[in-house]
Amino acid sequence: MVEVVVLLALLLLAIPGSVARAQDAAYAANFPELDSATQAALGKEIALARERGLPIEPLVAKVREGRLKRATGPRIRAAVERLGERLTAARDALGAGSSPEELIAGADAIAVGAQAPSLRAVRAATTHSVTAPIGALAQLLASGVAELKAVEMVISLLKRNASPALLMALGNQVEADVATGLSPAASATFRLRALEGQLSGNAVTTASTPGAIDALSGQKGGSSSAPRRKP
Amino acid sequence: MAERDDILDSAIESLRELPLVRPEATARLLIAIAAERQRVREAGVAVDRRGLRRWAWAGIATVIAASVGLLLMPPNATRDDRSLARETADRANTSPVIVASHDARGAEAPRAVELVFSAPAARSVRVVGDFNGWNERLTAMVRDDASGLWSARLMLRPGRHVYAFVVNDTQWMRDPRAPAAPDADFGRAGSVLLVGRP
Repeated sequence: MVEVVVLLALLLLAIPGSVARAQDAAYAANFPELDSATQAALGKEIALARERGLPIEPLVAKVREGRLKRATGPRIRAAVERLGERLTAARDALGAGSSPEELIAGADAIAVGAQAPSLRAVRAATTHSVTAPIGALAQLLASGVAELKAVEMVISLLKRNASPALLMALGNQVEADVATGLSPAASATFRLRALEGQLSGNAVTTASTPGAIDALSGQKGGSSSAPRRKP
Repeated sequence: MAERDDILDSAIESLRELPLVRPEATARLLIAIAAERQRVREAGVAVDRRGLRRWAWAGIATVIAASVGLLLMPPNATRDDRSLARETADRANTSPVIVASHDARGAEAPRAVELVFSAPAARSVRVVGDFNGWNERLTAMVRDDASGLWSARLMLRPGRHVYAFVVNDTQWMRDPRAPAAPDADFGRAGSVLLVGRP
């Protein structure tokens, strides 16, 4: 009797893991137009990400994107692997307790050239979610703003308790300005000053991070020449 | 025996739903076991008590194992499985309105955005983008017969989004009215949509 119960319990304990593995394979098998080798490799990559505690939805989305764009199997595999690496790097920089949304934003920022110290500096500048701040950082970098300058801008707004919408507005404004021919540096300076003016009545209560800024000044600031776009 | 089969079927049904073990499924299983005990007691049928106890233990083991299994599951698994379930539900009922569920920009309230695309000869047009995980099954556009324009209303959170249209289920089309979003991974550009630009 006891043996039966123990066996049953062990069997059932094994089910969730095998269900997860089956689902990882099923995610890849959802794309029948991909060859079996690609499906197997993608299933393995997704399972690996799951084991590492990374969000797998962006990986699945990358497969869908590649399929819609009629990319070859090897190209889709390579793109998914690179995204997995960026998510891992984002988690290393932002911390193991980061939310999936934060990791996705971090991976986006890394794709356009953000380095780990920049992500850490933003993380240290607020006790709230860094999804919007890092999203804004990625947008500024993609628009061609130098990395050090972009991080300073984001942290400056965080210190003034800027809302996520305001942070994203900064990224949108600079991107729109650059698209119309304005230089990234000029746009960034002008837009930041305007937003800081809007926020001047707010109390400064967010943790300051002079050390983080100082640490960044020792790294390459990135050029402000050509805008960079995330893959 | 038939009743026992029912219980077994119920247990199997619950297991099939793993890892989304729903409390109501667990409750159903326990209620079925309790009901079986009650029925046997009331009917005064001679029952192999050992066998019944075995079924009860099996039911309890099922509940315990399922609960432990849920706890041991990686958090992503549960989340993603729910996403998959949501997608499956959405597939059955595609809608021109979608709330961005894959948005990575924060907790700001979504804003309504209407996309319009001219394709008079198209049989179908769908919107794909980072906001819907590039899933072409989720956001169908609606055709205006008079103008031949296709439109979709989306609820998107503030930030930068990349999107494209899929025409007749196969053809990738950029929005000619929006800036291009180059793509280093696959080489086919999408379009940029800035939401929340003051």
